[in-house]
Amino acid sequence: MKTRRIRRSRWPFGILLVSLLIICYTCTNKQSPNSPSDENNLSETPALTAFSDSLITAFSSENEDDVLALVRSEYRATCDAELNGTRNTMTAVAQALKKRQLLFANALYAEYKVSIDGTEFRIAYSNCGDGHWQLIRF
Amino acid sequence: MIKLAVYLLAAGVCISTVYGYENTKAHPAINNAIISFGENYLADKLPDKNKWRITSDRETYGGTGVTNSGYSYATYSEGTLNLTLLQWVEHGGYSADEPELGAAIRHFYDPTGHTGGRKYLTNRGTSWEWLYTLDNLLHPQTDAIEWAMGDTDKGAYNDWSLKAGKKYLAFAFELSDEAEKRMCLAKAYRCLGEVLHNTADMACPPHVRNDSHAAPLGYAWGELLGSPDPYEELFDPQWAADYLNGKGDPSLESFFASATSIRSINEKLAQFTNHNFFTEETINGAGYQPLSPINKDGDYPQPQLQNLDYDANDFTFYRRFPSGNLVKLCRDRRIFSLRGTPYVDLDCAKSQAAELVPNILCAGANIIRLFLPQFQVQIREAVPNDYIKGQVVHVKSSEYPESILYSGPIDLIDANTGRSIEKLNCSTGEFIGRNPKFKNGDQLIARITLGGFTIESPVYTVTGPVGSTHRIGFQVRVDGHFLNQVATPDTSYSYENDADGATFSSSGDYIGGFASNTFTASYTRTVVHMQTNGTISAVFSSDKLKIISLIWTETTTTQYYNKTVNCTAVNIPLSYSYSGTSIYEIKGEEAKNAITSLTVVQTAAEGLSYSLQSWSTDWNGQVYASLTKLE
Repeated sequence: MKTRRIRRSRWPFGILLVSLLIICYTCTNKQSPNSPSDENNLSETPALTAFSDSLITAFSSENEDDVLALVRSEYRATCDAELNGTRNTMTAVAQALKKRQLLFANALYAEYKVSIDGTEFRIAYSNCGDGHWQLIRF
Repeated sequence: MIKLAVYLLAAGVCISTVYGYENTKAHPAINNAIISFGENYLADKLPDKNKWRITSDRETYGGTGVTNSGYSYATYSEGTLNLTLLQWVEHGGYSADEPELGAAIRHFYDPTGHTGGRKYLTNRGTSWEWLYTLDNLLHPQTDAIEWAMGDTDKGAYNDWSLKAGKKYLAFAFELSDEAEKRMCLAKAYRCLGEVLHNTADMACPPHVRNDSHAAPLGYAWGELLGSPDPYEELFDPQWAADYLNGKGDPSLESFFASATSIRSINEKLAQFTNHNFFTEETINGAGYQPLSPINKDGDYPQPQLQNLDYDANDFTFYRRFPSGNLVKLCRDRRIFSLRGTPYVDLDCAKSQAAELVPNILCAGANIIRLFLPQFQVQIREAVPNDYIKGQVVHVKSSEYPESILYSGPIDLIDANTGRSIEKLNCSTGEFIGRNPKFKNGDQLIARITLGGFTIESPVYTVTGPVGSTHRIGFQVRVDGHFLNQVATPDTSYSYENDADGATFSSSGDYIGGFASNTFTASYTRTVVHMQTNGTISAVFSSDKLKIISLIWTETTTTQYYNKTVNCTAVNIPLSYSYSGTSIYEIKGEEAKNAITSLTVVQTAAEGLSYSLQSWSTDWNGQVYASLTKLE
């Protein structure tokens, strides 16, 4: 069965405008290069863990729509094609995700290595900046 | 490129950004690597007697820097920072992305103009940039290079452009006040850092392939803004140092080494990156099947998957570059299909950086080469127990076409021992010392040390009070290589530095014209402490290749001396071949035949008078007379 379309929420334009203006007038907490902070490490943040858990659940369900709901919109067509007809192998991905190895993570992008039947694959998430991780590659 | 640390509206918290091709780590690290590479690279490429090194300078220079990061001009702030020159270059790598939202729009340059000929960002960013024109501060529809260079109407809004940096550096040489010099140096090196930020961006694929990657403002607004780009995110600041000795593209290196403009270097680098690299969302061509890029603005003609080398063992598309680097451009191994849509992962990013970073370093080093004005320091006369005098001559270049007249300290050095003999003061390009501590036979060097520069004179051997020369000049202002037009007001510029409370200016006018074959002009020129007034009346031959008769007067007033020149001359030949070097010169008897009378009266410091030794014209109409002091 083909996947159903994922509906995107449509925010009222007024809210968008107000929100963007708020952003213009709020601070960042970035530090200048003369006051360095070392934030990059390979430990998975709680948000990443939570998203990975949701991915495991989605793949375990063997429901393509559940997985696609976690995919970033631009990559949905690509992932839709990838998932087509893979229902009975999705649990293998879920199992692999449980043993995922984090290769890189920052505030906006995370890349993992997973192994399925001895073959290594890359899975990647991206974060739009709102703390809402999404799947972009598997 | 910056990451927009985005306000989490629901929770009301700010998310800090880490690593990637961003401005707190990566750009400062790249700028640091450029400086390290550049100091070695330039060791044998600067003109004779010109050296440059800033990494060993531990002094701090007070200047204006970004003290608080922010999204807009309303929320970011600048203040006084005291940093070393190297730190100012690093800071420029950081500050170029501040405030962030504006930078997120302006740091793109598509060398191909693939979208309707536009080189600025059109992908996604333009759908929201209008919001920020409300305060007219973000200056959208501006490409990254014109912003960094400051050489267009749009780019002129950038206070920290190359144009501004060169102005500050010129002022650092011209101003005599030490505090003002230091302030200008700080600003100049921050500008250099911001230009090098642009250089680094031009070797970052999304910046040159119209691929907006400003972090979107949330899931629902993903249509408005770009998505994170893997290369941008995966770039490890450590790679800048790791690839310090990497191999760059030989043709690029050749181009950079012979470049005469900084703009051309960044443009060339952008062309190279655009032509040879994908972003994840602009992968194009036919791999295992025909593919359309995710970014609909990104269907660039090059590169194309089918033209790359595919290795089925690791599912990777490779390109062997002329540097010898075998680069992983993308791979297409997917979990559910043997081969799927290609992507850029960590391995690819690191592999690409191995090719791109060395090219950044070479480009940056040559940008520094062109950013540094070049000078010749000359000791002209040295009379034991009497005086020493000399000059600092700026060697004009395409980046510095206007004369820079150095004012500031000169170290007089014993060439054999390296010891400092005494400090001299140079004013508007000339220095004079009274009762110097040397004797006949001593070998001397005059040295300028300023802001990383060390500029030395050739060794001068004191030979006693024999005839010496003094160089003066005036400009028969002509337009190009023809003498049938006249310059309108010329070399007029001014600068006020309100932020620091200091004001200094430099201005000049040259007004005159031809009436038939007769050229008359009067001019004034004020440069810092030097005021020059002059008049010229010249009758030219009908072919404008000869001055039949010339009457020229000029009075120069400085804080150290006054000088009056009265010159009459006949039959001065002028021809122009645009060779870039002096195209006509006569000396000795010939010069005396041309210039019928010439008197120079210079009051203070010595009250000298001179006789004519030679005169010459150079390619742009500058006329020089070399004089011998009358004993």
